[in-house]
Amino acid sequence: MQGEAAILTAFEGAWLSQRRQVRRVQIFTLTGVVVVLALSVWLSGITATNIGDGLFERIGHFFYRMLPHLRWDSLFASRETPGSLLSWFYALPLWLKAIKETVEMAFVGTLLAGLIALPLSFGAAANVNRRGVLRQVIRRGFDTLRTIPEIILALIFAAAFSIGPVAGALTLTISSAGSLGKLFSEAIENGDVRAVESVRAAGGNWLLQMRFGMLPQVLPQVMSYWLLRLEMNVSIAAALGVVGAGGIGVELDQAISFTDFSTYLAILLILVCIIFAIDLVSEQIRHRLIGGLGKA
Amino acid sequence: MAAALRINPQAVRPPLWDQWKYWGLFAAVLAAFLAAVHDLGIGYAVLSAGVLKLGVILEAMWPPSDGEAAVRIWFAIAQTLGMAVLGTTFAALMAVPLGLIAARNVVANPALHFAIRRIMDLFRGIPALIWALILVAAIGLGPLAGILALAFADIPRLGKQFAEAMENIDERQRDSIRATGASDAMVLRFGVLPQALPIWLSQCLYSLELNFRSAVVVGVVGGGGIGFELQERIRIYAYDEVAYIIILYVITVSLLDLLSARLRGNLI
Amino acid sequence: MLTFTGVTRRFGDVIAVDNVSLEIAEGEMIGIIGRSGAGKSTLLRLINRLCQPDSGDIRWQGTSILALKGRALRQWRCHAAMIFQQFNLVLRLDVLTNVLLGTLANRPLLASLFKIFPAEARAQAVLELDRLGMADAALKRTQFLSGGQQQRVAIARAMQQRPELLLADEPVASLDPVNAEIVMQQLRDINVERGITVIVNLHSLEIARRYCRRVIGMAHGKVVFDGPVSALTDAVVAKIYGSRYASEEVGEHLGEPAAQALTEAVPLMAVS
Repeated sequence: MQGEAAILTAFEGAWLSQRRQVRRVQIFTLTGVVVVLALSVWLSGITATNIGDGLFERIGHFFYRMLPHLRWDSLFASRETPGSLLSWFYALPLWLKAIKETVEMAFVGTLLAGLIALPLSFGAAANVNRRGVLRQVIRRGFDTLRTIPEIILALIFAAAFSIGPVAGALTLTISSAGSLGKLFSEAIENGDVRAVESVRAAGGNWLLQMRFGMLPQVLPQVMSYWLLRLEMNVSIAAALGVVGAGGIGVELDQAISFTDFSTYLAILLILVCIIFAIDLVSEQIRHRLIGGLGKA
Repeated sequence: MAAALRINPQAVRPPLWDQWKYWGLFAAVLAAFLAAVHDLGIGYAVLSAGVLKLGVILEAMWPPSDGEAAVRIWFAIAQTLGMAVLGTTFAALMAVPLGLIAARNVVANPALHFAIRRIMDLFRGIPALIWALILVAAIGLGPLAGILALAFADIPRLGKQFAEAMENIDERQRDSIRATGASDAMVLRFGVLPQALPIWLSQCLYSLELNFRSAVVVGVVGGGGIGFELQERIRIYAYDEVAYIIILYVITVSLLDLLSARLRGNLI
Repeated sequence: MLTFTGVTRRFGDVIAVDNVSLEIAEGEMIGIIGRSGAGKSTLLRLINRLCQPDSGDIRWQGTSILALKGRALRQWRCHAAMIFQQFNLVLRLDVLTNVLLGTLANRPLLASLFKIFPAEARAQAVLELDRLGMADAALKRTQFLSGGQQQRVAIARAMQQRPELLLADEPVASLDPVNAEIVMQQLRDINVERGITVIVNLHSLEIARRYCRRVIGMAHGKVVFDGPVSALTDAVVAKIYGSRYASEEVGEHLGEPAAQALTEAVPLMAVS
């Protein structure tokens, strides 16, 4: 009887103190989060703007204004007829040309970035490059390139190469090289070095060891990352156009400043559709690759 | 040689198709690349002139200088960080219901699931900058437009992440709570949330990292913060100050990434 | 003739190979036995310079292999072909390409990078595969092969290198008994029919006894036995493996009672 009560009190005590501990951690985390949020609200100056005055009404109204005035009876009529699809997309040839430019920027940028990143990524991988100093230099290089916001690079390149898609393509190249470099090197570090060793034992030099021992293993992953980056870069290329890097972004920026908001929606729809299509195709290719169709 | 051909001719002399398959692919990609390069107007003249100018710019960046406005820059970084935090928070709040209805194990109807996922994919392609343009036009310049832009751009991506986390939970834990006769809300609270919540928080932290980068972009279009400061200085060719800000920014990002990785490690 | 003179190799505090001196004549088939960590693997890897000795000299036909660099070193590695316990093949490539990797040391770099191998090399590879019964699998992707099949492909690649030495680092440790026999038989045939010096690391005493004429026993990095299989007495085996493990090590394939009998009967066993 006495023993039971003692055990119970001991247990109660332990349990309560553990609960207190957990509570302490919870309160600490919660306070931390609240402090961070409060600071953010104060710093961002969000309170300065008049949130109150029907914010979501205003946004909603804006979206309403983006809707075109289409009419059922003239939906498929000519461009001049108000209410037709063609009048909504009145500058379709121009916009298609612009989106082609955006996609080309993304394609060129991503391709070049991968070609730069792949050889360097072998230098950044710990399991194939023993020279710590070189490895660190390459890694820091990759990290720096991927951290600098693309838009800043775009502004600088636009200053150097003048406004246009050249600046945009170069921006994507430099920025993607950093990101791809890191991803590629991670894939290599996950690779099995035993095959590399057997190429070394057969008398192959470092280059051959990488080409036959490591590359076949990592190629599906590498291609997957490369294609994913291509998808992202179409989106980014569109955004960069806003600061003058060419492509559909330029059209978007002009549309919102000078024209009907329904034009903006039209251009936006084209952009979204193209990105959606590219994402779909890329996903198909990537599934095939991981499924084992890689060439190596 | 003859003996080998008798044994396995295909191995000794592979058919032409096998050999040319990959060369063909390579040629196609090369052709597309050259066509794109030509179309974009990337030529030797443009590049060489640009590289020279770039050299001048890079030279002007050293040594970096704070332009006597160090405090202002630090404040701008904090402001950008604040924007990122609020944007992520808002995105997370919106992504929770979205993630739930986009999860195969919450909404069983395959057609509905497919539709919701496709709609989210559609919106995923719209980068924060484009949202920022729209929102600035709708509600005017300022951090609010920036924060909402960050949120709207992030919600589809985060929602998809949340949904996938939901789908990857261990069903057995959920079923065992359900077997006790608990209500749906209780099943969610005890059978699902303890599994999903750490992953969600981890994904939110990653989102914060991404949004800090996007916040700079958004700042350029009028959201304020570092983006605005950088753009201003590029406009007036004050490249040494630009360099200073970039260095500071890169350091901040590294710290943020480190902190986020540490916290995420503790969660999972 | 391969000679080791006072070769030592350390890894931190551990002495993997301790002042080893050996002579191996051409055409010999040698089994190296010993416990895990005795230094067998390191010894083998010193021969093809995957590992560098801290002191001592290793000579092949009078020339020191330690001084080799660059192209000469790669040529040497080609001449001293090695096969591994885990086969170490490139799984995503097809069997034929894996065998053709044996020609890398002698082909121009650029051609190899683009996987351009002449028809003669391909024919030779097919013939090597055929001798091992693997010719039909030449265009299959290597990852779909079983362990025994992969090891045979590895042997084919080793033969493609036209080696003078074949170094086998625990080649059958990851194989089932049937495939182990097939592979060991192949190694013996290579030694007998082609006159290639074969040095095999083995963890199974029984296999060493059946296939090798000369056995080198290692313990703690030192060579504690070097002689014909017939001289492997119980005492010697105890020295190599440690007395507690003498019959256990042998017993892995045969079972306890048979192992006991075998250990007792050792002085009476003759090599086939």
